[in-house]
Amino acid sequence: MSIKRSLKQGMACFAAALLASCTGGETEPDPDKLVIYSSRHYDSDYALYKAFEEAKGVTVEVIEADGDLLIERVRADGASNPPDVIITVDSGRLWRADQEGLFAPAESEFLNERIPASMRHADGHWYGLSSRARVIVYARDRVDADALAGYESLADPAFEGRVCARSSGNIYNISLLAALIDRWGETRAQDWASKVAANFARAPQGGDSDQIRAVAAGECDVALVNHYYFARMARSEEDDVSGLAVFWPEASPGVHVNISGAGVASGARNPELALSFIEFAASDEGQRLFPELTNEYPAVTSVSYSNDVLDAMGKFTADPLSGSVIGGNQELAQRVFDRAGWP
Amino acid sequence: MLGALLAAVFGLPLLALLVLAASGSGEYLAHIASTRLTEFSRSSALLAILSGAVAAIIGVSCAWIVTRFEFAGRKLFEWLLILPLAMPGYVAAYSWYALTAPGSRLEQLIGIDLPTVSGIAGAAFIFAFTLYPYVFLLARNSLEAHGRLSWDVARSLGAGPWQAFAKVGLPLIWPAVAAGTALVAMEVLADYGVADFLGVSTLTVGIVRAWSSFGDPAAAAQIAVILLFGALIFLGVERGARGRRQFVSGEAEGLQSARTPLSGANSLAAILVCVIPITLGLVAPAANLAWLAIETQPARSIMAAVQGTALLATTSGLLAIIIGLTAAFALRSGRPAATAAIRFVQAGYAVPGAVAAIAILAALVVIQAGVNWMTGGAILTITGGSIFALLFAYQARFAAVAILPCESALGKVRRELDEAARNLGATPRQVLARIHVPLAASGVATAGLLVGIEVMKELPATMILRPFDLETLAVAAHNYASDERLAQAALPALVLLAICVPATAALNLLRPNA
Amino acid sequence: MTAIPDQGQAALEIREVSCVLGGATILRDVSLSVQPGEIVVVLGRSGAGKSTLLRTLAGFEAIAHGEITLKQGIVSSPGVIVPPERRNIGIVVQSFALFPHLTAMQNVMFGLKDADRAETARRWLERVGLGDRGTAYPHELSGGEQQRIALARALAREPEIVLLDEAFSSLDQQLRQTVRGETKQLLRETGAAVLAVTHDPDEAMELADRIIVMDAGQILQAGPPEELYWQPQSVTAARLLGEINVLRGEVREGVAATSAGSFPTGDLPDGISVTVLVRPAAMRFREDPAGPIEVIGPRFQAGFQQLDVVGSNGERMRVSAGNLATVEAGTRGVVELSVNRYSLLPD
Repeated sequence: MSIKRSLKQGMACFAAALLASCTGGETEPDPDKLVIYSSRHYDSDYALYKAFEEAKGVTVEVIEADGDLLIERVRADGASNPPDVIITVDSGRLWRADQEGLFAPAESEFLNERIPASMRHADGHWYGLSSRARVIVYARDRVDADALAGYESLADPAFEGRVCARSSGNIYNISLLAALIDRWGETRAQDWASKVAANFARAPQGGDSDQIRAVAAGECDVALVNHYYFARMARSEEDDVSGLAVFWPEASPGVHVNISGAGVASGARNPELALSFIEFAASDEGQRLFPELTNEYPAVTSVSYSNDVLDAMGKFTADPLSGSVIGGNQELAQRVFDRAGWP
Repeated sequence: MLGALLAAVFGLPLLALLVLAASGSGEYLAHIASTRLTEFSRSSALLAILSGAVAAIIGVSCAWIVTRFEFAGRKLFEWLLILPLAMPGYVAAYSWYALTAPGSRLEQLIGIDLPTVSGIAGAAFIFAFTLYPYVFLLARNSLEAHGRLSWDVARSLGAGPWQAFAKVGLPLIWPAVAAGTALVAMEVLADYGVADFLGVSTLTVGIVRAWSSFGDPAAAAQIAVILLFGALIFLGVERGARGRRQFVSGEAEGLQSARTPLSGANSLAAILVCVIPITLGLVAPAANLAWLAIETQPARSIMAAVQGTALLATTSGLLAIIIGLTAAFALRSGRPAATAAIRFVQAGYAVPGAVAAIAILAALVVIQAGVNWMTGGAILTITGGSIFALLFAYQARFAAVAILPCESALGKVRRELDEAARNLGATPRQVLARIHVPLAASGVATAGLLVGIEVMKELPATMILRPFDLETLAVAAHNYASDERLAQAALPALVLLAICVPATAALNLLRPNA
Repeated sequence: MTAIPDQGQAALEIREVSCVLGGATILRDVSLSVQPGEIVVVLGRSGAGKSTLLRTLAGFEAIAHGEITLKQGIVSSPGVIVPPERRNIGIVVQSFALFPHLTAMQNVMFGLKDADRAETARRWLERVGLGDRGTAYPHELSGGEQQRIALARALAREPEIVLLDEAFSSLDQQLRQTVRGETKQLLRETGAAVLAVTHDPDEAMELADRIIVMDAGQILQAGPPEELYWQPQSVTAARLLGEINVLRGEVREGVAATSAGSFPTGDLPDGISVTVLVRPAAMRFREDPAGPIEVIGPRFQAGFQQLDVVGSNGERMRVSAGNLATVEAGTRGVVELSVNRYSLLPD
């Protein structure tokens, strides 16, 4: 048991600290063990780890933590139990992790071939595995889809008192605004944010699912959410979202997407095994797990999968904006939100 | 000497916080000051006051009822009323929000449009009903210690029951009520999970944003210092208002009487007053979780999380006992320097867990550098990611919780007893074993339990500092809930409750007066 | 000796009161009354039910049987209890129960309602000799000062009835006597009916116009202090008031013969055995080499010389030594008895 071991190590260190002769718990690298640090905790990921273990006859050790913490901590002291693979959500975060030097370049013909260039790092520092689209969910009986054009529609005075969205501290909103700042410029983006805030039906609260439920309950008519929450609710028996529909804010250059990606960690003990894991995740077998178990869109577009809800939601064009732009704009986006009065 | 040592060790994070704050550019602070600082401060103050006031009303009324009246189930209620303390605020918030959100299953079931638990009012509701046991516990002990003589005398001097309560009953238990309410307010100020989820923009939300969105720990520290300053003013005002007055009357013997029996409608009303907070604070949110957990297949085994939680809670509890006793002995020595040092340590309770964690991380990096320099290499990891950092953070954060019960327990051990024992031939060590330990045991165990429970519920510092291979139930529940999978979060949250509730119930067994 | 006022309307009357607390009967058929201006002291051991008696009077405790009547009418009977604040009863308790968060002045003012309450309180502070201590908090006052503030607080409302619950017991011996004197004086001036409870016989005898001896929730005996002292009606009552010699004897021809001598028995029939209760102060030792009494040891107490002696039948007793300077152990003698200072209890 790893906890027991770490406790034993800890106690040993503690005792040894008195003699100033502790070895810091260095362990021999195990060629058959893959250490993954992940800020995702989804069924698709667990299925992926399991399939990889079975296919390669290795053990996968997963350590989960929230996105920002993961970056901060790997940066601060990844040395004690170094990861082989780092997985995180949001292209901005991937960019930031890369800026902190967490990834090592890993070239793979296979990956370059399968994953679109907009969804991977140019030098192979990280590869996108799946994506979620930031969409507008609306009540069919109260909103005419023709009245919606793009994200700018949320700022339309016609929707005064009818918009629901979560708080501006959320990474998905920050990334969206970071993209919009690039698309429209800071001034227009701030104007948009303050008009959306003025249209709120209620103060931001809860998560994306709660915004969707609020539309279903009639508290608001449109909500800004990630598509995969809507798909999850549409597939569950708990929630009834039959009266709702997804609108793709495709107005040029496309729907904003959040990319989940993985990269080989700098300082990985088993870099080859790490790369083979990412390749496995990008294989047909690995890719179909994302749409089927987590309702995300696979990075490899050619993969066939079965998910009726996703199929019914139709096709869309994704904004190919690079993670470096989103990541670079994130701090500014939070300031713009603060100035615009989006709580 | 001991006190100074303790303060040096546990004051370090506070010191690191100040240094960290001073190292910042103030650029973010300027941005936030021109945009949302007023809102952050107002929300924090309002939320703390509202939560504290409601918690005080609930705590005092329940304490009054169970100490002054006799009615069916009174003894049971004395136990049950403490239990909502086991409910982590963020769990209650998730559960209540799911229960009362527009179109929730409960609303469909009962066909009534319930007010949604959100915003400042919703957050205050969550805090008041999960934290009132602090006021209840302290007020009840104080009421039991005071007896009812003063109240009776006030009545004989012409005061009606309400007047006697307002002019004598309440003032006498005021230090206890104020201390309990201050604990509630400090927890509220330090909270991130509830405020963030229910959409209240508090200072702590701003602090976490400064760190997560701006990657600027110095800015986070700066806002934390503002928060700490506010909390200290609040505490100072309360202390100052007491002035020369004392609140301890030496009545022990004399006109004491049993509880006044209630019957009929009055008895029912008393039962109702006790049932409401237990239901709203614990039973309703827990039942909702249980309902969700039954319907849901767990995604992963939570055994590792159970073990992690147990390991952290027991280790921290034991450490708290050692530290609490050491501090209490230092206080008992009565040296002003020791006293001041320990009061300083106690202020750590007002620092939000996330900030404490950042500050501790900063402090440890410095220490690590020192250790590396002394030993010539990274031979000992004490910074983030080692269990030491986490255990240290817990102790720094919950020192107040550990010291108070130890202090009051040792307070019972009067100096005459020491002297009598020494006079009868006991060595100092024997005095400790045969006089202090038996007399102080319940208070000391209370310190250990309280810290253990707090550690089990603690989220931000655990998330930031835990070794990544150490899972805990709170983190597991949070991970699922933050991904909006409340049903998956239900199981770890329930297991957490299943451990915390009996631990909280055990607090009752350790009552000094029982 | 103060005259007991005329038996007009009693300020307080307790009739056949029983009180049950937590299943235990604390008071059993207690009846007593106190006249305006009269000081009645209830004497008993701790646990005798004295405090409960006061609590029922003050309205803190309900009664199971009987009734309590004040000037205003019945205030307590089974199912009826007029709340404490509507009884106009002042109370001073052993711990004084001064409100620790209020100054001396504020404590005295607590029960006052009228506009010139501050003035009234000041007057009372002066009356108890603490005119300059008004701004002090209770913990800053000495024990005697605290007692006087508590008294002033109780009296300031000009209650018709004042209850003292061991009101002097927490003071030290010397202070107690002074304060007791002052208090009695002050109570006399107010003309209130006073009911005090104590376990201290000296206090009872100094304060009381009438003493009521209570034990196990019942009244054993009531009467003026001297009567209770010299002629107690039970061993328990006798012991509560001070040292007592318990002698056995048999009635023969109008006297009870005991090892200490013969006591006239009035109209008790011959042949019955009796217990004689007699205080050491009512027995004086006289040296007589042929006497039946032998001195075991001298004792010096409170300025009086006393002797422990043993009778011919082995009964031990304590007697006063009169003006004999020194009496050595082994000296023989007889005992001279004072007239009417004993009681006879037929078996």
